[in-house]
Amino acid sequence: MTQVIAIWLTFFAALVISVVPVPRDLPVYFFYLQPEWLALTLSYWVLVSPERVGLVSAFILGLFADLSVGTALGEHGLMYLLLVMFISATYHQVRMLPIWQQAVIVAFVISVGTVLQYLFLSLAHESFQSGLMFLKAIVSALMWPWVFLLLEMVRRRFRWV
Amino acid sequence: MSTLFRKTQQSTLLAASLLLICAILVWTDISTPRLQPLRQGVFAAVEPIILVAHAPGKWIDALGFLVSTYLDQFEAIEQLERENFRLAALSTRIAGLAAENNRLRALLGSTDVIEAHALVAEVLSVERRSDRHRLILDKGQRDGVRVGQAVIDETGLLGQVVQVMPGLAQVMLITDVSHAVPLVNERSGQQFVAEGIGDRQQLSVRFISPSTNVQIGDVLITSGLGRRFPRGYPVGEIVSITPIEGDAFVDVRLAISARPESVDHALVLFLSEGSQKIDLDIQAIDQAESL
Repeated sequence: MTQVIAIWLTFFAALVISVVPVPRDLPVYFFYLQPEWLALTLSYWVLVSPERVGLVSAFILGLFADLSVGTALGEHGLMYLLLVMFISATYHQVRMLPIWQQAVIVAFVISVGTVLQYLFLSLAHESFQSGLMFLKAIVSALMWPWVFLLLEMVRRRFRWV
Repeated sequence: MSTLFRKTQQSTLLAASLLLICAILVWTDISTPRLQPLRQGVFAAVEPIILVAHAPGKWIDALGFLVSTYLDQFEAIEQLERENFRLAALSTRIAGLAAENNRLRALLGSTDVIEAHALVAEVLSVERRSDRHRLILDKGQRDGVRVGQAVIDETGLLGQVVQVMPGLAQVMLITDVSHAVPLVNERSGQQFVAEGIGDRQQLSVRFISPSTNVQIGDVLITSGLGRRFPRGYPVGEIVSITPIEGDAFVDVRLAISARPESVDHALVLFLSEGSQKIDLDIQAIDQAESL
């Protein structure tokens, strides 16, 4: 139980970080330099404990993200579900890879997720996206080792495998 | 092996159904307002997330205020006093004009008086994502803010409230791609609709034929049509009129007069029932004039 609470506390933290407003005097593209904190955290937990965090958690997290960011309900869920599907199908292999290769995989999954998300959104309404959205995937990949190590520390602290 | 297989099959089914639910949710949320009540109902649950996320910025502001020098503050107070004096002098004139306006309205046969009061709200953040132009205000349901209220700053119309939490409100700016506002040209009295195009400074005025009487520099104000925005708040100034080849309409751009990028405080407008009636009366008069 404490483990589940700990997991959801890290999700809460990631959600808070992703809602922190960009200071107004910074240029607009700064928005794209923010990594997908929640997607990273979710990837980590699916990778190390796929029996506790899975599709349902991804769905619920997506709804929370949509509500707090203000996007259409289900928009984040689409991406998170794809992410969980991919990682839970391959976690045996991905777990064994060195961190930098994991980062490449995370970047790949996040950019596929972003592209699909925006493809779907542009079916429903005109959306204005630039190539800058791939920047988010790259920045997320660069953040992966740090998020991984930090969450590993959290996990050690709560002493579970 | 067989149990493992069954498990994968189950999770594929679960994944497919959750994806489908997400897709349906996105679709309905974008194309219909049907999910709005649901959204409003669970919105209070995420308020702590937004409040915690905004806390550091507030502390930094407070710290900045503490370390600013006595002299700076002294100067600022002096400046504010001067500004206050100027505005007070101005407002006496406006009071006179309002009284005169009401007398004229009485002559026209409508007995109601426009009563709009406003609530000052602090702007907590401006969203920077390119396709979402939103503000978050520090006033919400508890302060009486409701979805659909117009929000202005000291220079013009900012947008409207689209989501309310107990202590926060989200405002869609007029520059958002899904926003449109009915306008009237101050000079010629013609009615227009301006839509957001995802640009943070400009709106596009739709359906203007090349023969329409518009000029660069015309100021467009809210027309009060649709009863969402009260009449008479400046929205922007026409900055460019470009004919589009092979199109029956010209491309008219409006530079907005509000400054959502640098706004610290905004006013949420409250309208009494009577004022809506007046807006309708004004529309009737406008229509009669244009005929």
